[in-house]
Amino acid sequence: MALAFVRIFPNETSFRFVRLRNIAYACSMVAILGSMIAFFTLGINLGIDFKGGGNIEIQTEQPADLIKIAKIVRGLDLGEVEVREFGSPTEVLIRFERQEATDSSVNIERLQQTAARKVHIALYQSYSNVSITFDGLQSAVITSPTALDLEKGQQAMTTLGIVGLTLEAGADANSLLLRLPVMVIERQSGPELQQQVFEQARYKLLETYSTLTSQRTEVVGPKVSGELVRSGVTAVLGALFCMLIYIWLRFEWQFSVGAVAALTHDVLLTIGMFAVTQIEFNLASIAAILTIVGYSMNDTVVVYDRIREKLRMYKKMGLGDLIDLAINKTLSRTSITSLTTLLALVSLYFMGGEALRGFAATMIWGVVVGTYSSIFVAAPILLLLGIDRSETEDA
Amino acid sequence: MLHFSKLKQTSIWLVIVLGLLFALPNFLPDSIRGTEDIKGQIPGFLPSKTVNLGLDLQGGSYLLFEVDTDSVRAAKMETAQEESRQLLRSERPIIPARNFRISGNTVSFTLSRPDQMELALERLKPINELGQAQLLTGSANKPFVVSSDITSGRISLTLTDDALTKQTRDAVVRSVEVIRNRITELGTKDPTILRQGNSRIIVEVPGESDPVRIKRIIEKTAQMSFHMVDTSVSIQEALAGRIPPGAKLVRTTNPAEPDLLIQRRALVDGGDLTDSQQTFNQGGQPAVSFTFNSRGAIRFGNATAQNVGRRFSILLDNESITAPVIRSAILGGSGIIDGGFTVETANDLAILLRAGALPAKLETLNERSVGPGLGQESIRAGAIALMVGFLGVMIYMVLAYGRFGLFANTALIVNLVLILGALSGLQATLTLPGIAGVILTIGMAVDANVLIFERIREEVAIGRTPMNAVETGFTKARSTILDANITTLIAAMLLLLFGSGPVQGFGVTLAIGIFTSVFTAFLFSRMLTSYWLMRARPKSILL
Repeated sequence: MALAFVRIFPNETSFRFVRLRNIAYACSMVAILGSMIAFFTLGINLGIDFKGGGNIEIQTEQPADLIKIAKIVRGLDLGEVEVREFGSPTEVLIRFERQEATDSSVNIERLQQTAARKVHIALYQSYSNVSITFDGLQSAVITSPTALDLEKGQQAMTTLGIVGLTLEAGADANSLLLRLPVMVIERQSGPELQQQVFEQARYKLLETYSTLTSQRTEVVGPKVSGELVRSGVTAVLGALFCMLIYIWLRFEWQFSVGAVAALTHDVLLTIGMFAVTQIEFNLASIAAILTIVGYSMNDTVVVYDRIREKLRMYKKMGLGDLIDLAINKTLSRTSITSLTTLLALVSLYFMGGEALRGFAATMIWGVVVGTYSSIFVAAPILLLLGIDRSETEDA
Repeated sequence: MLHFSKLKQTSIWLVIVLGLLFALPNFLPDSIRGTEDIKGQIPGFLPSKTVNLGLDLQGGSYLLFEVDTDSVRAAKMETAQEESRQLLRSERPIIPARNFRISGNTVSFTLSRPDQMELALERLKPINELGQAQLLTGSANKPFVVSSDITSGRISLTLTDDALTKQTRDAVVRSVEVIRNRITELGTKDPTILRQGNSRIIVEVPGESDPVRIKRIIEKTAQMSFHMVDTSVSIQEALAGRIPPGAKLVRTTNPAEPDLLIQRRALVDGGDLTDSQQTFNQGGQPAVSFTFNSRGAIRFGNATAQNVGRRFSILLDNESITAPVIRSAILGGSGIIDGGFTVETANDLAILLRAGALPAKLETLNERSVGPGLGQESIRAGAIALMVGFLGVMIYMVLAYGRFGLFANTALIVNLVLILGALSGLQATLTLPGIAGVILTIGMAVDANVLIFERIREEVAIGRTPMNAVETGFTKARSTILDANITTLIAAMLLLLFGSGPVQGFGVTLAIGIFTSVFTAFLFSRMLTSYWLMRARPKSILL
């Protein structure tokens, strides 16, 4: 057993972490500021989970001709389409934007056509000769050689189940005014349009490439994507809140404030990473952020536990020295756990397949940031907040 | 802390053996394990279930539908309007009314003679009784609020919000049934159809990676009804706006006759159908046969007997698919529909009719589908990443802690077995992010051991005897381990609560991993350490 153990740090260290706290605060502040600037300028590459839209992942027998595929798909007039290699040359990911009226005038036209067709059918039952002309984006004028009865038109629309559109009296007896409220445009442009567009693209591709197999398809309507955003944000905020409460119950309030400050720091920096790297932000990213919160908290708790213990042991020692002592005592553990976790994550990044790569990258960043924040943010903040030593003496 | 009673030791080993038993079926071929079809060779009392793979790993389609509330309301209001019209004319004296109008939740009309108001209101009473009462079980409230204005003779029936909510919920429940019938007819394996919240339906079909086919069969409402063709005015006149009361214009599938004027009131509807099959007509063309129940047969028989020589129309989702002339009374309660079908479309229609009509339109909110090849590939990649990460962590632990690293590694292996056993035993769903959760757990699981070992090292450094150091190390690390794991568990719980689909799978494995990690580090590896200390009685510990 006389072998030298491989450790990152020697068994006994006495780094003066607290002395570095102002530099650390400055670094963190700059990093957070940078993250926010990146977030507001570069934005985040939202996946279809949150933005709505569709993904098609296809596999070809021969290495795929991305340019050709892009040309076919763009020809469909779907707004912005992203075509890229996914993992290997024979696998291609095609990403569609959410198809909605506000995206481009083309879509509004398509939508108007649908609405116009419906109204036309409705009125056709009452008047054989009506024509509809769109006036701007949200209203249309209906004219006929004979007088048009408003009530009759409204009734026809109700009978056919056309909801949301309103019919009003027009400029003269021979015309009516049809309004499409924005709300209706959104409603109509949702799933229905999305699905149409999607299938169109798929069949077009299948026609051209008879050998390709559709590996994965996803379509997320605007309603669901909105809900996913809400539940994601709720989950992250809820986690922060629960941790705050838990630490407050187990330690003093200063500890819980410090821990949550460190967690918020981690979350903000992770958002910054998403903005800088433009890694797709999807449901798995929310899972990654929550896990980072859990991991960072884990690290922080270990340091805090030791601080609390030292507070009871050395009642006369200065708080700064005491915090340094606690961090040094746990440094070996912190580094080893970070290293084994990183080992697992790096393996996931390189071997786990394309679909999990973004998740692994986020987690790797989170482990690094989380480890840093437990040492340089969570612990020194206690010094800033001050701890009532008299109370701990009794405990 | 180092003394383990016989009972405690047995319990720890028992948990591990159980984990092993539950994990084992995953490594056995189907022929031994047994499936639904094949009888296995494992005795019945032993677990035989494998991990329940999510759709993203086994391939399949996931669809989320929402029942369109507007269409529920529109259908309800339409029925109310027709019913009122019928009720006013049901007996003598007939009460004439005009200006029928539906707007939002209200249907209203004007009596030609306002002095008949009292009589009219009396006649309209059944609208709040009979048929409605059945649909709105458990509620004493009337679905419609009736208001009337004696001077103008205007009557309005307003559907209450409460009734609409119930109507929607009811529509969802029936839709789930109908979808289940239709999917079963498609012959797919183990479909899952679940109601979610008030108006949503989740459909999961493993093995079916083409959602278009499923959607085509699900999204059709398939409301069928039989109506007499109205010939009181010509079609040109009707198109010009002179539609007789009680009649309506519909589109047809026949290009030679694009519009048809039919009577609103249905002779019979799809609800009275008992069977429908794809068949061939006398000319050898694909057709769809249908059979009515006795009520439908009587009504259909009477109607056809009274109208020989006239035409009736078969309406499917508000579109006339055929409008034949009645040659003779159809008394047997069965017939065939000729609609210019192909074998496939005839077969699809027969399926839809057999399965019943959807009470409302469905809207697709979300769909995901994964081909079986991709799922296999994900599992393979995940397994490789797991193995590599596992080996990396194990090698490092030995390098960092020597003999104690071996204890930790044994605990890690047991941990993996327990995770697999728990996933199989609980039949929790393993998803792709779930695999990531397992790999991550492997990395984080050694943390508890690391905490303990570091403590022991500190205790050795201040001069405690090996026994004493180990004992104190475990004791002092305990509360830290608990605190640290509870916080991670909070994160996992929130994922379970707010995550959807695949992400929930990540929360599941993360949560399971926390429990198994604490168990293996705190009980199992401690027990191993104690065995070694008891046997070897080392003079010093090297850590």
